[in-house]
Amino acid sequence: MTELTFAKIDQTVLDTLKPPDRTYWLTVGILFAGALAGAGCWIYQILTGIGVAGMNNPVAWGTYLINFVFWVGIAHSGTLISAILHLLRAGWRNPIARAAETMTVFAVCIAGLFPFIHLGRVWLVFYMLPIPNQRNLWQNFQSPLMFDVVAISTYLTVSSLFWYTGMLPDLAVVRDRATGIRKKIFTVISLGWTGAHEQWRHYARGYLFFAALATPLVISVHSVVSWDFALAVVPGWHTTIFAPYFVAGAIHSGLAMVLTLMIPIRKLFHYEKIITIEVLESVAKTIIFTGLIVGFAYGTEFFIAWYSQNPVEMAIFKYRPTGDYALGFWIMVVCNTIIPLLFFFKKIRTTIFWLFGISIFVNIGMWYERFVIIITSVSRDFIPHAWGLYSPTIIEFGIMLGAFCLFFFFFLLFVKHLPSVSMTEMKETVDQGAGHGD
Amino acid sequence: MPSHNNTAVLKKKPWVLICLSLVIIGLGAFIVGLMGRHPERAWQAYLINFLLWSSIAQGGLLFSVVMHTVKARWSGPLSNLAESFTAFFPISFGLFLILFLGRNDLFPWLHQDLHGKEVWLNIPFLFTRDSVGLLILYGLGFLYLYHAFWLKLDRSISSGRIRTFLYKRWDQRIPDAQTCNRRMTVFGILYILAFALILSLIGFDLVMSMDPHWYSTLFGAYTFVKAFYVGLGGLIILASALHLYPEIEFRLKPSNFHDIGKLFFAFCLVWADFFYVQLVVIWYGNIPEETAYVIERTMTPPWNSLAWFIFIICFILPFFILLNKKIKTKPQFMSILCAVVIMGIWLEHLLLIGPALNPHGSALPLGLMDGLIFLGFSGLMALAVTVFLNLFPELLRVTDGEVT
Repeated sequence: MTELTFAKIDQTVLDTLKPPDRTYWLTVGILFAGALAGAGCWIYQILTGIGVAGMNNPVAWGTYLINFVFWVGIAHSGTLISAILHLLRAGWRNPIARAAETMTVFAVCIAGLFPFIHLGRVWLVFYMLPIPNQRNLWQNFQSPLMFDVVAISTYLTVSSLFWYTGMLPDLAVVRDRATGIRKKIFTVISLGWTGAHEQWRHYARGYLFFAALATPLVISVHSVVSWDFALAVVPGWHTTIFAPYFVAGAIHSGLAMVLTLMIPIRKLFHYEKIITIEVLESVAKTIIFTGLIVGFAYGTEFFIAWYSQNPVEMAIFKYRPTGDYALGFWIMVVCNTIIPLLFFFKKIRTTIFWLFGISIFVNIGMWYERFVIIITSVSRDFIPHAWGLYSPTIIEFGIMLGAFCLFFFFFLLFVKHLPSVSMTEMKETVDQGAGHGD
Repeated sequence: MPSHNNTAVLKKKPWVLICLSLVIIGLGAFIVGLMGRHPERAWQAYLINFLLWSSIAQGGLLFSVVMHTVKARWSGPLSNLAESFTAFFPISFGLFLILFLGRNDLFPWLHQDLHGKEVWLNIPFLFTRDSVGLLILYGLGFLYLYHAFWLKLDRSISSGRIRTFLYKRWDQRIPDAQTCNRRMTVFGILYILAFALILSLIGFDLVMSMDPHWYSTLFGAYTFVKAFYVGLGGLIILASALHLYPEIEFRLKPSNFHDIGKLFFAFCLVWADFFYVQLVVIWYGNIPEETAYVIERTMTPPWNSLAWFIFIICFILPFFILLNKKIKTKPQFMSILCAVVIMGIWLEHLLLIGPALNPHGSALPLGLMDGLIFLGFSGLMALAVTVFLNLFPELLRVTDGEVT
């Protein structure tokens, strides 16, 4: 990376903030329309009732909670990249840390919507707040769902602060080069950053502490999400491996989403010198690792179900690969554990086409993983009388589409209005020459 | 070559004699225990030590493998040192085979109705699969080491049969450094995979199945995370001992100790996390078949106080101590802390295995014999590492930057 200079980094990143062309606004418009369509579906559901979704008795948890877990999962790799890899001093995370952290913030926001959508009467949501009231309603703090509210809101707060703190020096760079209204806005949001020695010192310490605190936080958040299931006494859910398995799965899906987002950005914004192929390769290698952990968890669950000789455990683990949702199960296994193994071949993990393609497969596979976990276990209760099947309705698909559109809509707005690569950290990378494809 | 004479001190008789006498003391205590009224107590101590010291060796090599695989730059001298733990691999395999002699005292399920679990829990199948597993794991470890040595060994030293054998092989087929490096990565990744799978298997077979009606999906992962934790602890003790030994030229920088200390700290947290997430799911679910195991070990005497003691010395104590940066750079202090953690994990094995083997005990099955057998095993490990470092003094070479 000899040719990459400080000026060049600034130039490449600031070029992305130039006024966008018509195609950009057209795409933004389409995505916004998609988000509106999703909102429309939700309004229809509110007006008509929760019955418009496919959920029934016994399958009371459907795509809304699948999407909730999916988006929380997506969020996780952002913190892995920005915090954990920062602590491990892995230089290759620098070019993608900003975008990954942004993805985290937006993904948590999207995830946070789904419990609301899942509520039949969303206007009664304030019942969840622990406020003294004459209805004598009080939250059940022993419920993992309540842990989840706390965990997710903490996570959103911390990752937003981490994201914003990390961006301060870059915002000041934009401010210094900007004119007019943009200058005014960036003057406010860069919080008077001057680049004084003292500021850098505090910034570096603050960033390190954020990273150190965010690391256990991110692990606890998805552990708590896993306990929404594992603490219940439902076959297929109640299993001790769930917390580490969910954390690894979350990072697996998030890394795939990082590839899905970074590859087009790299092309559109001419980031090839910054987000080098070696950076993408490192993400791919990490995907192999998380994929193997997830595969290990699948295998262990089956082994222990058989080892236990417990009839209900054995029944559910026989139902998954052979029952009504067998297709979803096999999509999950193939996309999450088999296809990522292709990254063992150097040629595949250094080819953009394959990187992008496999990342899409992993995204699909991880969505199906949540589908299989949530739906199969509740659709077969202990007695056949309480069995039922579930399939999502058009309204649920509409809301899901809306969520995806909203996510990409936010992300698209972000890449054109804020520096999508951390100039600060890129300069550190150039300085240290650390692990950035050299 | 300074490094040539570097380990000469280790060859000095007193040290080897100390190790040997520890081994003999341990062996003596074990034999006396076997002849006594409670041979199962001796076997229990044997099993715990086999599990603990094998996992230190396996986890120790894992450090080198992982550092190579992720292309770490900070760990050169420590990685080299970690490879010396492979000396315990053949011993560990032999120790495992000896377990067969104690099968009647070791496996409570032999005399129980297993309700269909006989297919998995029977002596021939258990010993076959676990021996094959260990052979694969250790084989991969040695294949990794073989290629690491190709890059590392100093051809000017030519003493010993192993060296002559290795040089002869390398003279016949001359791979280049790049091929060797690539093979190290391949065998390294396979070792990591085998580490996860085989240690899970060992955890299920030799620890979890002691109570054949209890099961937990996390137990396998818990076993190998624990092995890496104690492996790092063992490595820190070894590095500190050599660093502090004035006659050996092995000096690490404070930053080396700081970095490995941070990794140890991280795995202290991971261990506690796995311990907790396993416990909380069982506690909250409150299904009799699962909680019985936990209640016996954490709520009823004599085990409950032991459980708290273990949690304090393996997590709470190291957690608060290791928050401090300066302590991590002090080899004297770190080796004491790591020794405490390793002993804590020894007790943790006792906590997992003990209640199944001593179903009606009112006091902790812990006595002088257990301590002596522990000493015997530590002598065995020290002896193996000493002999290995004498054979391959290159492992003590401290260079800047990446070695391999």
